[in-house]
Amino acid sequence: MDIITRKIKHLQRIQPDTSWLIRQRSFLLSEISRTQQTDKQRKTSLVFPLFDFSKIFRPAFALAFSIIILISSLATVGVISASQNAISGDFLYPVKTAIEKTQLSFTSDSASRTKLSVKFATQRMDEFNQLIERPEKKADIQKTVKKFTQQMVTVRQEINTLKKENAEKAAEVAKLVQAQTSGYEETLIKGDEKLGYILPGEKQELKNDINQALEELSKTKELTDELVKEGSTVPQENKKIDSVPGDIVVPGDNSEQTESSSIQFENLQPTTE
Amino acid sequence: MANLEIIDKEKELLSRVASGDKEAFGQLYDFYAPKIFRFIRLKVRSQTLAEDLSSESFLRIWEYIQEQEREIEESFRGLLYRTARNLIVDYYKRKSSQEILIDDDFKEFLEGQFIGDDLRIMEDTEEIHQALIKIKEEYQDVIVWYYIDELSVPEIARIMDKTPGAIRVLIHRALKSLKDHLEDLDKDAFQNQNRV
Repeated sequence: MDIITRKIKHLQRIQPDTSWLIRQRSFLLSEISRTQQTDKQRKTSLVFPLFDFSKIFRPAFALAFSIIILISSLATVGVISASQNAISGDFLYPVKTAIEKTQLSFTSDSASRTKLSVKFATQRMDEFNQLIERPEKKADIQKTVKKFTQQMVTVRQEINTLKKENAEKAAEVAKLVQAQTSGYEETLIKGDEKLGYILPGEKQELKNDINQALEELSKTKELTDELVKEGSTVPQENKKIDSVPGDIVVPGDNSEQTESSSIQFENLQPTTE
Repeated sequence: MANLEIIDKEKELLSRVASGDKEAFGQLYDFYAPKIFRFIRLKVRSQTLAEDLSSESFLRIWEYIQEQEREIEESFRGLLYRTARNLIVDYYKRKSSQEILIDDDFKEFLEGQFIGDDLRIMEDTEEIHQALIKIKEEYQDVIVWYYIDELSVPEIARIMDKTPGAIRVLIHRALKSLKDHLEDLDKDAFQNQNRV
């Protein structure tokens, strides 16, 4: 029986596709939000006649409300800035990720959302670099790699959305993403090698996660390569006519842009040793 | 995470979910989605169907928890497995009167899961799966829960609404049945080889 039970245990390795898991998570949570909203609307329509909203706008209420907001903001600023250096497993790490989620939820256009997602992916790579120095945090390394994979899926989704809205802008954003991919790849491969040395024989799951991250990265690279190629076939004259203020400046691009409208992707490269 | 820690954390998340916290639900999803997918994937032959039923299980659980007026005493994992199990049974019941035309893509799926591994391990795993899907439904369940998901006997007893003693007997019988089917498969393979 021991042989059979050992063979049964091989089935433990069956895992769903990571990108499916991520897509499914977003789908589930959006479905839940939708049902919650419907319920809330139903409840509000019942409660509204009993509550006098005009009370909120009286001066005394407004002053008290402002003071509360100010005090809580001052206390929060310190926590927020301290959380920026946190890595997975740190006490303040959930604050960091919550801020990222908030930033994303307040950003409506796909170009900005893509830029933010790339920025977060770069942060995950920085965290990954720090974590591989601490092999005892194997679970946190795994979480960080998975989050990076998730960012890659998001980047592709956003670029695809942008492509439908504005193919030219999508090509520009793709160029920026493209500039980051080789850095990510190098970080993941170097990290994988290092972990193989530090955690020999116990990193199969981690290796699978890193492979998955590399796979998603490669899909992102394919998409950006394709978009950049398509973008480069658009006549230069058209580009000038279509470009609008606030467009993105590609590193190395000499076209006229204001500094405030550009994003500094050079600084996003993860620090590899 | 130690078992007790998981139970405490799960209880906390479950009570947050009951008050409508979808982020807490997201955390439960992160922890259980791979497990519930594996449980379903081992019992259905199509990848798409396994993905659909996994997703449906989570949606049903959310709705169930929101509808409850009292505190839920059952573990989230127990609820989830029970829901998934019922969904699989319902699916096959619904389809029983019709012809089931589902692509059996388990072999391809398995090949994707065991990339770079010893071919022998993959063949063993496929053979075990072939035998597993031939044994009784409740035998399949206890084998997956006990040996693959490593649930305790009392927990399986709660999910199946049986006594721990009955579960121990069930596990023993399930393993015996699986062994018999494996032997049958070996015999068939041997006869086929001789014929060739």
